[in-house]
Amino acid sequence: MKKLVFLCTFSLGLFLLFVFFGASKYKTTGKQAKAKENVSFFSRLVKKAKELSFTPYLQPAPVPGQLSNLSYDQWFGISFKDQRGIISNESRFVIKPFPLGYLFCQPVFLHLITANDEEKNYDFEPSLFDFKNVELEKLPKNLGFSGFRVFYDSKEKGGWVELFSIVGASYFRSLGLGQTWGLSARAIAVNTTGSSKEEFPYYREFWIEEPKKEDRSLSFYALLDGESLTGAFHFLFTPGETSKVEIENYIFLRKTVEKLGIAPLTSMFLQGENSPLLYNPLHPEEHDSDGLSIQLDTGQWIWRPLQNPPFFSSFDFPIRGKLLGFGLMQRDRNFDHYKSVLLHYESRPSAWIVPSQGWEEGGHVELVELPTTTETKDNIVSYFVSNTPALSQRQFHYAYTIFWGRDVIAGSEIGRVVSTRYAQLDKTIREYIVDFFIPGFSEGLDPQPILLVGQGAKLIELRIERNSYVNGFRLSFKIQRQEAGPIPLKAYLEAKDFPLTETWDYVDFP
Amino acid sequence: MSIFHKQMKAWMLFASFYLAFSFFFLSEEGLSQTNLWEEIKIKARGLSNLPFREPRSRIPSWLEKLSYAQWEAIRFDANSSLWREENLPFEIQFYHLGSIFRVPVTIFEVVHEQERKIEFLEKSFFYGPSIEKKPIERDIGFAGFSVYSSDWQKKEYCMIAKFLGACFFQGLTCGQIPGITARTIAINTALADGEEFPFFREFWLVKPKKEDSELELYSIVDSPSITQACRFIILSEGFSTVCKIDTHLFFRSSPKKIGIAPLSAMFEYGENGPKILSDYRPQVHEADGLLIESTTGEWTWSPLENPSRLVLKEIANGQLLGFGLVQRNRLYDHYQDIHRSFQDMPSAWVQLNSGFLEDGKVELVEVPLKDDLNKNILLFWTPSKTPFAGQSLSFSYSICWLKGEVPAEGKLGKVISARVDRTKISQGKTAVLLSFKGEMLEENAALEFNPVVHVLSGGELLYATVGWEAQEKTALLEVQIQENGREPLRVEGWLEKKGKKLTERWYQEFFK
Repeated sequence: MKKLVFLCTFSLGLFLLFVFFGASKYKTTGKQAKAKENVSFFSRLVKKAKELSFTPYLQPAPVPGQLSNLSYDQWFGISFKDQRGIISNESRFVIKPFPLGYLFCQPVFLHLITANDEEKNYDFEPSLFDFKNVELEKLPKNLGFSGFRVFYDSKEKGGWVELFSIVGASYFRSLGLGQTWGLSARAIAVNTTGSSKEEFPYYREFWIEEPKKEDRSLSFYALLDGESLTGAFHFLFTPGETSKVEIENYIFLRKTVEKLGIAPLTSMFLQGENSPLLYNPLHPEEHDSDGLSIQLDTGQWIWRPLQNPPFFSSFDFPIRGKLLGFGLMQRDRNFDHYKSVLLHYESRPSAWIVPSQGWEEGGHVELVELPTTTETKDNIVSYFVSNTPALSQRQFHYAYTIFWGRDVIAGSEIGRVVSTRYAQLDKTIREYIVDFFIPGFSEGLDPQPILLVGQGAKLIELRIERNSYVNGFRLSFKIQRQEAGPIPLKAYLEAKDFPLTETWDYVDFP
Repeated sequence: MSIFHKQMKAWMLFASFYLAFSFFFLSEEGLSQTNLWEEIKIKARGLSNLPFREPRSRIPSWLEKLSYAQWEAIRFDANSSLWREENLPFEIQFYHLGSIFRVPVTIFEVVHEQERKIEFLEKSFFYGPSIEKKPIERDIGFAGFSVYSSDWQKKEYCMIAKFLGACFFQGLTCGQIPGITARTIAINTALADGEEFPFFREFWLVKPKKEDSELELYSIVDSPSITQACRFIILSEGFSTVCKIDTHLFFRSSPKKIGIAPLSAMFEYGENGPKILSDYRPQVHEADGLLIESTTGEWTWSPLENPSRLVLKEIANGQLLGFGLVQRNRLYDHYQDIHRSFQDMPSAWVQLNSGFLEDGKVELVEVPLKDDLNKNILLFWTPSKTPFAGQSLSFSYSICWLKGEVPAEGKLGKVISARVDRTKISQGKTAVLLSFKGEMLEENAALEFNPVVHVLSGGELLYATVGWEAQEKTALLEVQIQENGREPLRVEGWLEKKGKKLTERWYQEFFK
């Protein structure tokens, strides 16, 4: 017991030291900013990130053990007292910081940018929070926060709703009005696959522009730091039926990174229509997303149904030409397919990423799937990887928009995959059933199926039938497996040599 | 033969007396129908006094050798339907003998008290190209027939009943495809000695008048243990096809067990079982549950199962008004079969009328099934006392073949799905997720429902929680049970508010 107290005091002391040092440093930055009013805030932040990348990486100071030992429920129970959040002037946004604690123990410091471009620190004070039943010894001031959440006055949609949250490492997430929280995004992914250890850079500081009364968007900036890189980020969050997060970033590499993942998304897929077994038989399906969608400038659309694979797996989707969009979709919107009054998977958002600046041609989209036995762990990651190697001292600049909501892809007239199912007919033979919905489906259509079976299996039977239940067609085929290992399968329907549907791009796992 | 003659003479005597006596009281049609029914009962009784005669296959061998698919390729020409040219409310089409249908049945048409045997005519059938046909030069009879009802709005006839094979018959509403099969009687079902399959010997189809809404037909059924006279009155009402049945059983010997008003269905797998790897279809069944209405007004729903060994469940005692096999799940999405529309198959509801004594019971037999072609579920009522040779019993009931729910159940919340998790059975844990839907729940949704769950045997309740999904108007009840492993787990549950039941009672027996 004595030892524990000693340890706590010791780490607390270290922490105070850091906080004091940290705080004074940021105050200096503030003064500098004022002195150079002609330079936009973001370019100053970019410069700061760049300079930070020249200095060795410093681990964030540990937070007091009494916070890091909190359970999720304890941590989540701590609430920010002031209902108006951290900004006193009236607007359609309320911003409430999250305290440090649980897994979220990398401190982030908050600043506000006022209407006349002044920077103000918003410091942590224990009295800002109602700790409820959690009994803590006196916490120091200016400890930092772990992130913040944004509430929006949707007016027509029943008032204040939480539509954005940014907490832990470089994670953030959003959703459309009336939806349920689902998948997350990250600022950057470092070595998610490959031989190097994965890194989780974290936000060190946020600068939030105080929203004006009429503003429909919230703008804020972030300084990102990690072992191998630093970054300056601008976020512009616009809530709505489909919420938008516009992102512009500059990434500076301290070290060479084996795999740099741009615009990463993190999701969960436990079980679906294409799963051989149900980990939770009470619910037919459990997932935050059911497929990866990719749009290319050649007119091709790729649909990869997600799987809970038997082993760790990652796949590259090479981009020929330009990437117009990609994202993790929750296509299945039928409550009956999930049957959960608590989790509401049917109303979780899709996230669709539309690149704007900095995305060179080529590169690939990577999909990582991990085996999981529970819905509480995220097991799906997707991101873009450039052909340009992420060498030490290099810098990258990307701009893109993430659309969060139900119908995030507008105006596509291409035929879409409705469902993927299979049957194990015997030890080696599988039958796949893929249903395609065709917009403007009519009697006269007579499409040809194009099917590609990768190495390791041979096609035994292929059939296409009209399926009026889905206003489209049912493609069914049987393959016989000859080798172990994943076998790629691709299929689409064409009419008059023109693709009528997206490309169903699948992997048959043994 | 001579005995039969004697019987006939006796009947003639009785009939003429009856005729003379009742002439003053009954109209001509009433007279003829009553007469026919009496005649058939007497004939069936007479037959029971004779030793059982095995039906001898008299059909040409090339017909016997046909595969089922080849037999299906023999189609009746609808233009040759009985009563086709006369614009009557009903028409009859016939089934060809062949393949597994080897027992010819004799079919009579009854017009103004006169019976006329319907002749088999080769030209009334189309024979598929896969059949090596040989000429049929004699009247071989039929395998069965189907009843078509006119749908005046569409000006076409649709099938509402089918009598084909053994003592099997099926009902359906317009546009449905047949699923559940009824039998006139079940004998020694699920007994070690094997089951007996009585068969239709003869049918009498009474020619309807233009204004009739009902079709009347009669039959004699025969088997080693019994003979049976049946009267069917079939009525199509759009959302349902009702078949009123009167039956008289005459016992040649004493069968160990009889099943009255039997219904059979195919249940390969459903929502309440583990996922099937060898089939892409989420569910495959003709019915997903059995429903019971007791005399106290309680409705009980039990999801069907495809067990790993034969299971016999005693479902209810005689205090009941009705029972049936119901295809409650009506969503294509749950079956995904674009060829066999399981979601459109009829439910069958039996309303008990007379003959069902209170000490009888309803039994459900479930047999392991590995395909979706055979029927593995049998539900029937059985008396407490074994009948004896020479005894006769009579029953009266109706079977309603339905597109939707059983109308009498009304607004009561219904179990629309029951999902079962037995993956933690090694820890003795079983979990169930029930979805309830119904007007009574919607009307009372403002306040919380109370879940009532009783573990009747085999374990104890760990928890029961209920949630209301307003958008879907669905209540979800999650139940977790700790099993003791000593006896079969039997559980019941429902939702109520202030002591008033808002839903039917869910009852399930779990076997290892």
